[in-house]
Amino acid sequence: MDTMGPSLRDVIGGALTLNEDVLVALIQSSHPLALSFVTLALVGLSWIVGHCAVLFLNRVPPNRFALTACGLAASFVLGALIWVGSTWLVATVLPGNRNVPLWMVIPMTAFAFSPLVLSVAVVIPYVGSGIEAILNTWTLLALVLAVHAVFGVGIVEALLSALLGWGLTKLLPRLAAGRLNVAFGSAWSGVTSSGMQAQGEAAASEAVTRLGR
Amino acid sequence: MVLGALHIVLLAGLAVLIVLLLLSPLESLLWWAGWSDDQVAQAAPVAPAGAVPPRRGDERYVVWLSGIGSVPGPTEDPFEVRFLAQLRRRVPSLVIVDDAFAYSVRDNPLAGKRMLDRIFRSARAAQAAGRRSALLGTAIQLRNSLQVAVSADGRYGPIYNLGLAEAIGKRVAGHGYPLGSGKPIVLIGYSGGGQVAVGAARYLKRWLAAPITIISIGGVISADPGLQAVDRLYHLQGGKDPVPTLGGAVFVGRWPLVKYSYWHRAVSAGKVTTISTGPMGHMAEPGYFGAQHVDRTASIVAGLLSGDAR
Repeated sequence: MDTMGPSLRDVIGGALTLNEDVLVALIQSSHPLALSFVTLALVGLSWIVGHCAVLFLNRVPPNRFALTACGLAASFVLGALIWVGSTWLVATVLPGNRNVPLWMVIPMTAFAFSPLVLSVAVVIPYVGSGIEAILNTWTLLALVLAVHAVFGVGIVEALLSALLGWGLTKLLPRLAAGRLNVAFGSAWSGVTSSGMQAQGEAAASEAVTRLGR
Repeated sequence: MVLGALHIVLLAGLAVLIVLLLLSPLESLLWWAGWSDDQVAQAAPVAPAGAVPPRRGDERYVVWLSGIGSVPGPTEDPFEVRFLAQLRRRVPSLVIVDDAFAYSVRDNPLAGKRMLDRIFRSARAAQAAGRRSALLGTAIQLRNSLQVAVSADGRYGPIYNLGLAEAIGKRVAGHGYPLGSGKPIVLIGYSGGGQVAVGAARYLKRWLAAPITIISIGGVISADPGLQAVDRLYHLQGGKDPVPTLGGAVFVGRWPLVKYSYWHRAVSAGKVTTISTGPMGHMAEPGYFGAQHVDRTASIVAGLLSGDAR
């Protein structure tokens, strides 16, 4: 890290090694938002490559492939921001916590989701689903650490905030009776290895039924 | 200097491995999405009229799924050819379908225009001419073993195994199998062929409505949902063959702790019979089809085909 603040490599390395000092340096740097958005773009790109099977399973035609992939990647990053935003909301309303400006949600999200730059490995057959589970766990740990560092709360309180934040992302669309579906669309949370597994099973089952007719 | 060159070779090898790992599911996904020249079948195949020799009616249909060193087309591996010839001699009523390629969803990669297809063609030509290339052989083994992982993967497996079931169905019909007759089918999977046999069984069973028996010879088999569709699984393992044991260690559903996996459920239901073949290795001369062991292996398989696997 130089005096200008952390580089992209520092942010990713810091999240992977769960080093909260990197997040603090990112927030205090001269370009926290620009670097955060670059990190999130990289995360989104890697995530969609790792989960591209969902596009093929849905038989997305070649001329719509890139656009659909970008849409899904953006939807994923939006989902990440909503989760960290909800966590920020929970941590902010809890009594005794530090007052943290809303813009810090962006570097917090970039730091917490940095482990997912390795999501490209999720595409690897058989071990990919396991890699996804490990990366998701790592992301949760990095988010807990981010809340702990930014709000100055204990680890347990930070974990509780992250989990309540996750719960809030599930609760809000129901309370809003569908009016928040655009922002809380299910694509980003629905594209998982287990979801793709169910989809693949259903598609193959339908195809073999057609053959039997 | 020498160490530097070694590092470069190792790094290049690692890079190739990573690229192969990342690209391995692509063929099946492109095929399913309709981006490939080969298309997902829309209807059951019809046996070509006149092309099939007249059958007596007491034939037993056996599909041979080769090991990971194989290339598309009828098997030409001298060890496998010797084993299949022995099997034909011992059980004359067998119709052995040996041209279903276990490591691709595409019907005939030999006819394609991709780089991989050209590699397959040149490997096949070399095999026919009795030449062996260590580099080509290793590359094909690596590529095919990754397809075994694709077959065992919960996300890609259904698509891959469906494609393979389609290819097997077409080949079996092409060899005179009366579609709709419900005649039993035996899939013999050698090495990685064991996994793809189990994977394809799930769709073959639904499509052909026939009893499916699998004979795995030194096979690696995951806890695949296809085990539900298999009526019997005979698992032949040589005392000096570490490959099936390695498969049991790699595939999580085979671990003793995962009691409710499809594998352990099949074992509990009495569907799986493990047969020790004696001190056999996995491949070449010390293997199941080496000159020393091929008689015993053929005798065990013929016994199974004449008995339970009938």
